[in-house]
Amino acid sequence: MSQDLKFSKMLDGQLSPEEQAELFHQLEHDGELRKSYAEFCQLHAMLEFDQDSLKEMAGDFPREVPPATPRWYESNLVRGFGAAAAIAAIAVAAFTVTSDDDEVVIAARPPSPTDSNSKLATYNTEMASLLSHPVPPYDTPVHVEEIQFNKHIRPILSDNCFSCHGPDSASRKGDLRLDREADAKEFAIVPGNPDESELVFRLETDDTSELMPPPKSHKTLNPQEIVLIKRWIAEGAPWQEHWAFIKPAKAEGSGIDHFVDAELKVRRLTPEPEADRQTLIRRVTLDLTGLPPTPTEVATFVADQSPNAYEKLVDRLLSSPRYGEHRARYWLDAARYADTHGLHLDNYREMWPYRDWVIQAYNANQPFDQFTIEQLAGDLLPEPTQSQLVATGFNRCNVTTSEGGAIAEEFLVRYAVDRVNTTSSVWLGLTTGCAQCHDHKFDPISQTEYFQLFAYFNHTTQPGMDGNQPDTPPIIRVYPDAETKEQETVTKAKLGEIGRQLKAAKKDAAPAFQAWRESKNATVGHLRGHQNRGAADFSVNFGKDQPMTIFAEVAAPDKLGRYPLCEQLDENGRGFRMVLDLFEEGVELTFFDGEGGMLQAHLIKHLRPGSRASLSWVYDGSGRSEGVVAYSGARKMGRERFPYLEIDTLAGDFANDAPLKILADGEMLKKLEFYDALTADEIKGLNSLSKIPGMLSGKMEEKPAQELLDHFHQAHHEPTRKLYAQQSEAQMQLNQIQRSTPITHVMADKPGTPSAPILDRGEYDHPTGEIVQPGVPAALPKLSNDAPMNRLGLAQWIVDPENPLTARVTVNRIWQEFFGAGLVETADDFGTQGSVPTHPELLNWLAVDFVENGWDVKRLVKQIVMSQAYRRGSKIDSRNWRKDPENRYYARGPRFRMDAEMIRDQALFASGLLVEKIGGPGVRPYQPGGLWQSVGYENSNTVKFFRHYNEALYRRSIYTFWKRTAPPPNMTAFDAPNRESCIVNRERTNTPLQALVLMNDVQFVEAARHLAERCLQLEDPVQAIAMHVLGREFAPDEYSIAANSLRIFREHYRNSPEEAKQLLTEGDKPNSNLSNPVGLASLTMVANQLLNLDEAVTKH
Amino acid sequence: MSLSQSRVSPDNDEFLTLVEGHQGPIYGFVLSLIADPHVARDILQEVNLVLWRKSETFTLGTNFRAWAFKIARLQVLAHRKKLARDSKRLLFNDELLETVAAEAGEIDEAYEQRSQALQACLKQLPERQRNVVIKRYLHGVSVTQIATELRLQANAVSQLLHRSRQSLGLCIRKKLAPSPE
Repeated sequence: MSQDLKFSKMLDGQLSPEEQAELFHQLEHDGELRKSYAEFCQLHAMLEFDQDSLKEMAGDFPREVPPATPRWYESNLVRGFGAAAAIAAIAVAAFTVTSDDDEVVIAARPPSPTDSNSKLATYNTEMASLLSHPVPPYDTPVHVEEIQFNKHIRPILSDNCFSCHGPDSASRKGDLRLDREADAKEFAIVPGNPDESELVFRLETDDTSELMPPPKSHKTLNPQEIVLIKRWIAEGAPWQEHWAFIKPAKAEGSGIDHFVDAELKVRRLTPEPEADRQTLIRRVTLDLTGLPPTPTEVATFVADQSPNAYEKLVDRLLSSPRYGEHRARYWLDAARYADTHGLHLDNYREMWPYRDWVIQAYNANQPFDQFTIEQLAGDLLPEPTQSQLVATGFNRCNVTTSEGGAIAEEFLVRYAVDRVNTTSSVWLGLTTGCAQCHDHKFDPISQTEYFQLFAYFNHTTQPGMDGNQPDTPPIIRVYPDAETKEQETVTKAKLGEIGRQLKAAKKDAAPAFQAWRESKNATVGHLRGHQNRGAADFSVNFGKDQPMTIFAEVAAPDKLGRYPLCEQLDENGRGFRMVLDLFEEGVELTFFDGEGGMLQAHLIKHLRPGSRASLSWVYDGSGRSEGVVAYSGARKMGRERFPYLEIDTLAGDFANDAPLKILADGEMLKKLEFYDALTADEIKGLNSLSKIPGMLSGKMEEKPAQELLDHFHQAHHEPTRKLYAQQSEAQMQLNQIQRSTPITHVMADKPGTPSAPILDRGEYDHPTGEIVQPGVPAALPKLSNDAPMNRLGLAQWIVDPENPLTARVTVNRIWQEFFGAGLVETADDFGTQGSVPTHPELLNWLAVDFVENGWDVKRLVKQIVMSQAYRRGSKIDSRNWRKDPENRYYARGPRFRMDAEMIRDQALFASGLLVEKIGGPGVRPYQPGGLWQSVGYENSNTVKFFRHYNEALYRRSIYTFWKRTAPPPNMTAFDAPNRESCIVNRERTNTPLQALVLMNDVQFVEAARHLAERCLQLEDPVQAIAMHVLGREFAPDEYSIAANSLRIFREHYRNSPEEAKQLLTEGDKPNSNLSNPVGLASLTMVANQLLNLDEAVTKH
Repeated sequence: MSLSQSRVSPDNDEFLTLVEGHQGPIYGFVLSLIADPHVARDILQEVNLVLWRKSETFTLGTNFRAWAFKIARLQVLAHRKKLARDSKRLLFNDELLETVAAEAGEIDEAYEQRSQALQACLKQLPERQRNVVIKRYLHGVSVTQIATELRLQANAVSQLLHRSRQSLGLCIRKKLAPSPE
């Protein structure tokens, strides 16, 4: 630093003690410097006291009223205010001039000059009148809110300082930490004396080598922040523990409105009156069920004169099973639930019973503490129920892999990391993830403590590789009832018994085999139930209820294409057809009932042009595609590994006696045979048939070939044939039972006590050698002495009322579901980097009240929707808007764009298409073709998207199959997450894509069509559609716009009736009445427009 | 801060005019001895009180500046004792204080000339520097506040101010230097 810069720093009050010492020393020895110093002092004095020329130069800056200048003999009194007052005055000015953000409330501001052309001039005048002397002007009494460490100071320190002077010991610089009071006040902060505080000096210095934060950090404090810190230090630097780590306590007052109204008053915001009834019922119905109200429900509520009409409505909605479906949706984002593994092949994972468990838990209003314990540690409860085991799926929802070359050890670490991070984020609102590699930079979580949390999850029996299978252990089968479980046991026992009998019978058959083999006329025989295709008018004799095997040998031609192989269809179109489809690389087998219903099982076998395959379908007579087991050669195809194109709309029978027609030439269809339903062993035999003639004609071996033995047992020996038949029947029974008992992924621990190695920088292959036991961060309450050293201990600690975080984090997240943002905006970060609550007392009150009332979620939800804050109209005047554009203070009711699922569900519901059925496997409604193909690996079992049919198209969106690498596009367009990691607050964007989805997605066009159809015959179709979609009728001016639209469309379609017909074929749902296609098409377009309205996609 | 428009008491009209007229020189002198603008302000007020109280010991027509500076120096010495007691603030040692007092007194002889030079030099300042000087001195805006307004770092404002003072100082020296014959 040049020496004379120190003069200036001295003059501006910014010289540090060290610099001062240096300066004095130099002054002693350098006469030239001393001269220069004296001149600077004199110059400063002249500029301060002889201001005529300054005034002259500043002449173009008007000053309305010259500030009252204290007389020299009076100014001593003025000086008495001291440094704090001076700083206060500066702070006041800062906020008066630059800030409407209400960080500090200014009760009075000096009136602004009105006649100035330039903003600068206005500003200067204000500044001048405020600052030309160092005390606040007496005629403008200024109330400055008390500086609170947690509200004003900690966020500044955390943002700018903690990364080097915080909890992370490894990256701590200069042995200074500012996150703990004792350390911070050692020398950096001198309470009561900002000038002596190194912190202040470092913030203000000109010397870039000393400036904090260092320039290379690209962090800077703005002047207001520095002023705040100085003021805070001047006031004695009172410290507070981070608010979220202090156990919440109820402040005076109770109820949401008490706290919200108090804040409104302070901020001088005028609350809106209660929303009108139509708005209110739509809002609360959407919020509690995710669906809009019906026109009848609206009418009933509007007409209900009883004083508790609204409460009755709320109670009705809370008891609807739709409530759980809607609440669960938010939770599934947090749980990162999906139907695929997420990495590499991204194969199917059978997990949906967990999703259904969440829905059920919300509907049963399971207390949140229990809800927590079961999900985190249901398996560790004494004698856990099936439901408690299913609940542990929460921590099996993370992404997994089975990629070749992936290292199991590494991924096991990753899985545990994901579980720690998700659990922390969801229940504790802490971003513990940072502490994986180093002590947390902002929050008191050391790396050691991180690995203590990690230890809880580091004890699983789960393999590191998921095996690309739907049922990576540990898993359980989920039984609908005890009876089914019993049936399964019995059937398995029966299968075992048949197996033993078969083995014995084969042994007994040895002499018979010998006799047969030695006889002159040993020939190739037929397996059970062989139907020969001999005569020209041959027809296969089987129907819907009859188990059956179809066996075909196919040689694909050299050119891509679809090649019909055979069909047996009667004049009604009843029967079956087989098509070689080289586009889909497989063979498509379809059964038709002649009434439009069909069952299709598409066997994908990577059939390329020029390749050959021998394929078998074993059908169990269930009439369902899932009752088909397929084989490629002797290999059973997992339903997941080689998925079928499943169309399950078969209602009637497909039996018929029309002749079987072979459509392909002999080159393409080498063999086509029909049998009874065969066992896996028999299919193997079937595929070995070609070897049998050779074995028979060759010389007899001492020890016969296994194939020949099998053939004898399967084709020639009656006792074993009978047992094969029994085995096949029992196996099909077991298959059917297991189809009704899905698999779900659960948590299970190895025996012993969990522990974890601390990993250097979090890397799986760099253990530091230190091993830690499970434990919780020291900054939070201790574990109870008898807490089990496993996940159960962790779960109990999380829901212990002493835990300062869990209840707050939970009520905040639920609050956010209704108001769009939480009282703490960063719902997943209650640490020092998170936002501070807008209403800390309300948050505390809600949290304490929630725990005191048994973690009753429905009660909390009811409290929220019953509050006036929630019920207010969502319109806003410009004054309130300017003051609180994001409605963080609730002067108005909530108003924001609905989530993806709500928008789709609303369209389905309003149109009458929605199929309400709780639970079951994920469904695949319409989506554009090729999306999965473009992201998928070729041998992934979710590389091809096959949509479902019938009711699966119209289920609520929570049931839509979620493939992580390609989630449903009409969901992601509206900001649905990909479910790869825990999300507790979704983004909310507006993009043109959203309008395009609403206008063109077949799901929405079909909904519009059906909605139009529903309303076409009514007296006023346009108003009826408005009622269904908006919950209100159009006002006259709006109506004329919609009616005009209708006229334009009608004219258009009258001139192009073909377009009308085309529009009416959008979607699978058949038209119920096509007598007036032009009318229906034009009304469809109006419905489409209405579903696109801002009001329609907004909860308001 | 300007003390113009002082009310003149009928009793000591001339004396008060002298006090008022010397606020700048006294302040500059005190400042050079104490190296802290805020403390210098406090001392200036104390000096003013002492001057006023001891007005009877001053004879109109004698060297007001010498008398006032003597009192100012004593006041600084008194204040130093207090400061040394109350805080760990660094202070000039006695020798340095006396040296500076003597040299500053010399420089102050040309206060009027310098002040006039300053008027001219101010007009020559680049606009940006001039504006910041006006804000800092005429409007009394703090460095941090100026930074807010100009959307600059506080450091940049300090630098700007420093450069302004440097140019003014240089300009004044030039104007005072005897023109080469």
